[in-house]
Amino acid sequence: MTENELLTLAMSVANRLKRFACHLCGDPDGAEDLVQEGFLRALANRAQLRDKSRALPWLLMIVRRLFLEHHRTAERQLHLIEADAALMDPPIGNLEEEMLRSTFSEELSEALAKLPEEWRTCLLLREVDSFSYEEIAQIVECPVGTVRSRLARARAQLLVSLHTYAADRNIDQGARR
Amino acid sequence: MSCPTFESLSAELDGELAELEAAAVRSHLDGCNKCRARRNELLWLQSAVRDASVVSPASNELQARLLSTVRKRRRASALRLGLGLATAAALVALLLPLVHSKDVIAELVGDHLGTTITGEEPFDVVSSDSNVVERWFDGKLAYRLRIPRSPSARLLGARLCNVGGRQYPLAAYDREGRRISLFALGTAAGPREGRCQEGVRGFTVCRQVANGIDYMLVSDYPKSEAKRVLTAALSELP
Repeated sequence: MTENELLTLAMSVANRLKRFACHLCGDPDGAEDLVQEGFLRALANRAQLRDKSRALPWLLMIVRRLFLEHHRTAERQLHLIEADAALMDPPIGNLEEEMLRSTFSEELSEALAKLPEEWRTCLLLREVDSFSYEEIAQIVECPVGTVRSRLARARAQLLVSLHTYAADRNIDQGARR
Repeated sequence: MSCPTFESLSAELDGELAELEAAAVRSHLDGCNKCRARRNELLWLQSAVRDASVVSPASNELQARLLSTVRKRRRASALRLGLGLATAAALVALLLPLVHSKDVIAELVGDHLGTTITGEEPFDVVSSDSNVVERWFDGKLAYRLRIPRSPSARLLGARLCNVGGRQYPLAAYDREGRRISLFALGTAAGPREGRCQEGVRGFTVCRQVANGIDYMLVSDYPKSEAKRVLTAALSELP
């Protein structure tokens, strides 16, 4: 891939790159720094990209690698939460209805922010960018099976958090197991 | 079938289960209220996460920073490897027999780069009609400019580029999503067959004289393709 092709791609997906970086670091200004730094690294290593159709996941992978180089604590956080067996069987309720009646969106954003980086990244790559499991595996550099597991755990953790919030506020009137 | 695991429901929602397993899960959902409720909640969660994940769009500054990253890198690379000299030498050998200094060519290629990358359309005349564009140039140049009607590329617009106090017409085309810039460097004796050089500030530059005008095409095509595009376009001139 030539420098111009890479530049053209990066310019055309600048919004997606920034959104991804912003979800990683939580700061719009820091996200743009991260994207620029990642782009510079991609330029220097573009010979490693064999398949042009995979250029976007490859760029995202580089941006994430850079982020992780600066934020090594994410790994520690993952081990703390991964052991929670309740995540494989979260409660069921009527969150959709409650969402309409409350300010749940803030709690959802908070719950998202509290997820381990690996889970949150997999979830957002899936829900927001609609990447396949295989593409997500390329970006986060893990097996497809791990992506599947992280996605399930992220969703379960979000449901647990939201149901807990609803119960605390006495707004969840739905069936609880 | 007993209730599928939460992970299976999650993967089924994403269309990432093997066909047989997915069919089994769907069949189970038809008869299990609990799993159906869980799946509905997962569906709701999908859209809620999307809604909660809005980020302000990338600023113009970010795009400018990306562009600047490439420019700095190219300058550094040229200095380090002496490519500036090599490019100049190649230009002298291949292009300059047809006039014009390498600085003018480099400046015009820079114009192409700027509009291609930033997506800005700073045209003096915006039209896909060559006649309209030709009429706009009437009286502004010392010669009658003909704008090629390319069957494979769409004319976007045109403008005059000022380099070193001289005006050079630029006609920009879109060819299957890729930007092509066609400059006229002035009058020349001809016709003269196309000559091309790759790697001029990262682009391919082809020059050819047709109808007494020295045309220069700037694109990101390989040399052979760029030459073919230019020859085909100029063959359409009346």
